[in-house]
Amino acid sequence: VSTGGAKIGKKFENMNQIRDYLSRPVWSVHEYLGINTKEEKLEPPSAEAVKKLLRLSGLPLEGADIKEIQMRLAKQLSFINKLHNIPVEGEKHTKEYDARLVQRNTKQLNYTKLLEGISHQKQDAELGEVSGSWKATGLAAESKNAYFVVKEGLLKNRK
Amino acid sequence: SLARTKAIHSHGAPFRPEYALKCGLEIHTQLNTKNKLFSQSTNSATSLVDAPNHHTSYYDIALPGTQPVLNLEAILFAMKLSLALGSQVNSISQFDRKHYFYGDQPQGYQLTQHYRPFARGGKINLSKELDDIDESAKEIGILQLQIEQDTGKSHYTETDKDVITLVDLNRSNVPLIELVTKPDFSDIKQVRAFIKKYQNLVRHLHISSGDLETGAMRVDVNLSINEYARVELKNLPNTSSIINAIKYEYQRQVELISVGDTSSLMEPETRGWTGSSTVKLRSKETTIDYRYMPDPELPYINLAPDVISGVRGLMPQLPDDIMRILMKKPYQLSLKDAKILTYNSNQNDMYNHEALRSYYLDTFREFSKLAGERSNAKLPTNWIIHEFLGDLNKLQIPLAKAKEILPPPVFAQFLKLLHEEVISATSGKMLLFHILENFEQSNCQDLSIPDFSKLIEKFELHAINQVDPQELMDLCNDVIAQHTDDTFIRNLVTGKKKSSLKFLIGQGMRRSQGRIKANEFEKKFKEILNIQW
Repeated sequence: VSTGGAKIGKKFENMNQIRDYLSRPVWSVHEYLGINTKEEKLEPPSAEAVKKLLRLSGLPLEGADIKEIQMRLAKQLSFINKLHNIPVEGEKHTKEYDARLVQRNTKQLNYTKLLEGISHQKQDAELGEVSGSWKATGLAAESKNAYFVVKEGLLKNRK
Repeated sequence: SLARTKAIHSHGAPFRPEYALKCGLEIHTQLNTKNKLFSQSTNSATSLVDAPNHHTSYYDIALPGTQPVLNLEAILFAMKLSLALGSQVNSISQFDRKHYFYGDQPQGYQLTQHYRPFARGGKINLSKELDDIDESAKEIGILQLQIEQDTGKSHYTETDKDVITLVDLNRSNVPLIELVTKPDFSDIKQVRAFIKKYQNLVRHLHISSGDLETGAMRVDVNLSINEYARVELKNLPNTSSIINAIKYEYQRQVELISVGDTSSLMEPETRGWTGSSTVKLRSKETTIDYRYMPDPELPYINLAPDVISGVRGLMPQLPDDIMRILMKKPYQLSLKDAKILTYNSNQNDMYNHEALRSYYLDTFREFSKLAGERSNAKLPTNWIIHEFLGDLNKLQIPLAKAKEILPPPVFAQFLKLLHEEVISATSGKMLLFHILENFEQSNCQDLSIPDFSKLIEKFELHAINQVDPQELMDLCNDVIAQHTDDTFIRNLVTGKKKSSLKFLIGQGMRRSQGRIKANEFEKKFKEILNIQW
């Protein structure tokens, strides 16, 4: 099923339009799992596992809808299981840690290129690499004496 | 409880064989590459005093859309360390993401090498001969070396409003090498020796400052006793903290084991050093799941074989080899002196160990040419490592400056004067100090080479080869008249207090400003006082 080709849409005029656009789902888990999948067949992760994930993610437990998260994760896990079961006979074997966006077979680095690469390094002000060329905390919602500020809440759940 | 604390502290005893210590180290070493690991931002050597968030690119603070580009200098530095340790370098290594959320980790993950590190294996050899350990030899095995990026720095503060953390990302993305040892340490001396040796090695290779106090080198300890579960110790800011934390934790566990209360030793634990005790930070239940994954944006490090051979050609001679050469003929330095020429403390602005060693070896060679077969190895050693260095420190003259007026051939001439006894050691000290003091007073601007002959003449520093008998007689009689009485003389002559003769000789040498030798004075005093013994 094709979602259609990419196209240039109308320019966003304000933040609300962006929020509306991003909040509108364009695909559904059901679309890939098939019509016959029932929620009763899903195996939700335990409430304890969900809580641990929230802690690891630095997200608050307080006020979290554990049941809803369990069901959402169950659907995602089911989808992943479908992916794992896609037959790949005939495909060249690839270790999971070789999965990446960049090409796998990289050009070899030899001694000459190593030394050349080191001697030709230079800073790019357009990437903010020159010290003092831009104010790093200028984009922060909150800063203090040129430091970034982290409120206690983010650290509270770390043990 | 207080009682337990007292019990622990009363066990000041050394390590006991029935409670076998098993210890490994994890060392993070900041590399002093010019730029950061995955961006070209400045890798500042003075980050502690720089304005916060001053050396930060868009990548370093994880602005959306930025991508990493590997700084190849980190590969060069990692290769140097791997070769020095005899590690097996992997021709292919890769970067992986270690996920955890923390205020000083702007990406939400740290780039490290989890699945395929840069190098595996290797070792550092400790020996009684060179390293102040009890065993004649001890090999500390290395598990692996991995390249990774540093995090930012957090400063914890409390205001009346809120508890906040101030974050400085100058350190974010600075390159690190993590070295993990095997759990081969069985005693404290080995740990101390290893840290000093490793620290000197990274300085020697010019890949890191090796400073623990600034955080350029950070050490975590993994420790267990009698095969109980491993405890990891963190927050160890200097060598003495590392040593004291190990001692404390050892005693704490011995206490638990000896009373049979070992339930808390069944599971791995992470503890922090408070400065006086260790406290639990994490246990197995709260161990973090880092969800490692290969970084999808970074290609492998794929090294051609000639990188290893090429970098090997850049390697300096290693410290242990240098030490052994210095300790045997023709130099025959003591261990202490060999260390002065080999161990870089990074604490002295007046000289660095390489320049000093080079100066010593060059001067030794020049002096050997002048003195020929009769050269005395002790002379360059004593005069350069002790007298010359002492004067430089006293007068605060950098070695690089002093070399301009006393280059090795000139210093060798000075040594020749001593060797041939044209001047005595005492006169030599005065002459050397005078030359350097004048240089210092000219603000190190007067670069004229000293004319030893003129100075010796001017200050009458010639050793007296043919002692004027009358002068010697007069000197001795003056000393006797000024410093003795009947009792003194009686005790001396009868042999009741023979050591008094040394006092008289010392006074005589002082009066002659060292120009007349001690044995000349001894003979004359005995003659005058009619001493028979």
